[in-house]
Amino acid sequence: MWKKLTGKIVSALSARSRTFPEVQPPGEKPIANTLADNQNYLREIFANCTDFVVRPFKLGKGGSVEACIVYIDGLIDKDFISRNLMQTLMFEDADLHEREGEPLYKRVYDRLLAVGKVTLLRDMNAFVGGVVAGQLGLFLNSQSVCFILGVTGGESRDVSEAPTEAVIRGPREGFVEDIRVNTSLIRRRIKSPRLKFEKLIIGTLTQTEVNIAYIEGLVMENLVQEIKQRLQRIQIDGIVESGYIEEFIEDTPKSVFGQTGPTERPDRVVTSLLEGRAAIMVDTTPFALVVPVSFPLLMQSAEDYYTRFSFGTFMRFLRFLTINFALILPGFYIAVTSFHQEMMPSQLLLTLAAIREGLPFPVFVETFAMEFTFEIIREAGVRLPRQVGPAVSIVGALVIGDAAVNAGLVSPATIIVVALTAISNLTLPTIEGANTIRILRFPLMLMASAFGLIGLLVGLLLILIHICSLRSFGVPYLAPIAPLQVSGIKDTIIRVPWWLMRKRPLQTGKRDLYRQPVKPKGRPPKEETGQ
Amino acid sequence: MSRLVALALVVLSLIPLAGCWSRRETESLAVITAIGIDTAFQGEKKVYRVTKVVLAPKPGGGGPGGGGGRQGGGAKREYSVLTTEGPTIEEACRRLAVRLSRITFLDQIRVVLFGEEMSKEGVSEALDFLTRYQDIRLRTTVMVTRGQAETMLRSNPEFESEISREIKGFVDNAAETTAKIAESNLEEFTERVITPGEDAFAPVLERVPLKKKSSVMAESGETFLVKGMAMFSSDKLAGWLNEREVRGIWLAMGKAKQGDLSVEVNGNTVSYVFSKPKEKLRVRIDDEQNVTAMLNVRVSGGVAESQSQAVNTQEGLANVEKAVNAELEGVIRSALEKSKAAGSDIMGVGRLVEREDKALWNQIRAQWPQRYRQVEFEVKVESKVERIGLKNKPVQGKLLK
Repeated sequence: MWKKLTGKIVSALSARSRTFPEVQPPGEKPIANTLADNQNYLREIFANCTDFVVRPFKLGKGGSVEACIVYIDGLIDKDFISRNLMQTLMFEDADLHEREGEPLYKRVYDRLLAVGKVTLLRDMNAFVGGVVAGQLGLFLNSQSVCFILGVTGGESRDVSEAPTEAVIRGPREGFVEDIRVNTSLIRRRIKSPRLKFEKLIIGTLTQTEVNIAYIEGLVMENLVQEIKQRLQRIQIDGIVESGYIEEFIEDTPKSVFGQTGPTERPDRVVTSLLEGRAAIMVDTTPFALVVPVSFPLLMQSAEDYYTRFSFGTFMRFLRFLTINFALILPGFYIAVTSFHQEMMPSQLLLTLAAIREGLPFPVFVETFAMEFTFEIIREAGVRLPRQVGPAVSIVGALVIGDAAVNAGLVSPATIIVVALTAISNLTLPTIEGANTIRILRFPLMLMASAFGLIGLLVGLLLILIHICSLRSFGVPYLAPIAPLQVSGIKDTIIRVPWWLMRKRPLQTGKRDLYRQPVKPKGRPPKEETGQ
Repeated sequence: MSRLVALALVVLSLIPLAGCWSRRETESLAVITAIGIDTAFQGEKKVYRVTKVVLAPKPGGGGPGGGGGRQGGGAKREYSVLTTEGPTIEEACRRLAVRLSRITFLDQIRVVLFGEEMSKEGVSEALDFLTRYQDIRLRTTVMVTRGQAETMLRSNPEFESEISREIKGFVDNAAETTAKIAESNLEEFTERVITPGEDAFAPVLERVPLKKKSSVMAESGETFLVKGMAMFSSDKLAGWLNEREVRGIWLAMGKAKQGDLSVEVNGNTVSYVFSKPKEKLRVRIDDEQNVTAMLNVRVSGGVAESQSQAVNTQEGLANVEKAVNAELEGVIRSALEKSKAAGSDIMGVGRLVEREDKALWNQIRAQWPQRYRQVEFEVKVESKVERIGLKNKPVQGKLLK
């Protein structure tokens, strides 16, 4: 009697305080009314799937209602299910009698499902989709409505340091493969409901979840619609990594320059979101894509913003130098030593000539050979098992470097040039930017060895023309350098202190231009004279 | 897509088509650092004797176990001097190619030497050769040698391992600090030769016997010095100036940066170091026959050494200034007189006349070298002593009184 009364009050209260979740409409294949039918159907679909689990049981303490849960082994939080969920479902003393106007599933929903995220379905296909996505399915006998419970779990990598974009000062967290963890990493940094994650499913087979992250009211106008449109055009069966998506949504797909900014760092994504950009996050990969992106952005490290602005500026200058080294140094070396000896100071010319005395190959053969050798060593360094790492270093440094010089095959000057180029390339903070420059070096070397400085310059001009014509989601790729936006320079070539960065980048942040209301002067308060 | 492939193929095939045109490896070059041009006679025929200093780079540790690094000290000779003759300079140069296993590389020439004989006969042909193509730098130092350029280039350098560096070093250093040498580069020299109303000059390289045999110079009893200035009238060598006169004319041209000067004041010698000279040259044309050039030189500087002359009074300073004025006016006058005698308008008075009175210039232009001899010079030097250093009195002052 007492229990009945409280139950009534609770149900009345809950009925008043919230509306019951909408039951999704039946699709092409509605859920059958009997448990057996549904089970048979699922068994048929999941035939030969050893990881598919069906567990029938009786609902409630009395065990009057037959039910069953289905799930994919390894994708759900087993611990939670057996300890909490099943406990409640099987042993709770609940009133499960059919009543007028209140079907059984509603009562189950209200009283027994101790889970936060519950979806009610009538469509079998949607149900299957939910189950393969790592959720728990729950059928009740003689109910044409079933539940999908969000108890996703299973094994995933812990959040750890981002290896491709390491910093000395700054957050250490990097994205992981699980998109929910990744979104939480971002949400933790932007605690606002204005941060949105819009969900899309891409890949007819892989059914990969893709989220578009952006800040409402701040993101570039029409950007989200445009991203959605481009994403929806993708018809491929599988998305395994964000690289797949990247190639589908670029403005100029044939270019060597990547027009999205892949990053592993949540703080980098957050910085970009705050500039009015959006990020495309893909499940099963730790790399999110920042769009739109400009080339200067690819040459910036997250750390530039965390160290003091003077040092940040110094890093930017240094990187400007190293880009040039990485791109043109070998070409320049070839051009000067085999075409333009008059450009060298006499003493340098003499030294070089003395070094090169008796060497068998012309400079460009030497340089090409050593550049390729370095690329081989580097590639080997990425692929090889960790235990043989030192061996490769020895081969690279001693055998190829030292021995080649001592044997009189390669001049030490070439080794210096190749080494400087390689080291310069490694200073570039994003893999996307670094790889592009790494590749473009070779055509420039080719041009330089055939035409000297003229060839080199023509090559550079072609690159410049190309890069100027690129756009990333409508934003010029060289912005804010070309077209020049003076206020953008403060965060491109130099990095001004944060209290001077009043405006967001004009190209992307126009919608809500000011980051901070007034320019704080940074002066001490006026002292009372005490007269 | 097929268009793109075709385009890529065309571009790729263009690269070997050019075939590394004009590519030359560093080690295949015979780097020439100095060139001397003389005239000589083969029987009756006048020919050019071209002497070149060719660097021979020593292999810097190539070969197994070489270990790299530079070998040999600075005093070791690492060049050869080669002389060839030919009716034109170009031909003489080409004849050198037969004797050399490498491509002659003129781009690194530091010094061009004109022999005395050749300079007297005219340097236009040599200048034509030197400036026709871009490979010889226009900033190359031009010098005139007393005697044959060849003998200069064949003498041993004293401090440097290579002779052109030594000669060039002399000129740069002396021009910078003492103003005793009038620097002249190929561009300026050529321009002055071809511009009417302005004549060329060049520093003079001279061989002098050593009085004492120093240990450095054990091998030969001679060294060479950069000394004085050679004045040209049109393209021909017309006269010489000595060191003191060079300093005067260099000041008068406003090109001296700093220099020193010793003057007699009340029987004592005072050393004056000047810097920041300013000069003004104007012409006054009274009539066709009377052209007067007014030269006003202002120098300021300090006392560097005063043997026993007190310079701590207004009077003392005024005396020094007066003596400096007199000395400078004297050397400038004497230099200008010599240039008038040689008919070499190194000050560019003709250009000023042209600017002042174009019509008159057009009339007298043809006979300008002769007319230049009649130009009157009014020279005025104003000097100032600005610094006397840390000493009020000469150190000897205490002993004297």
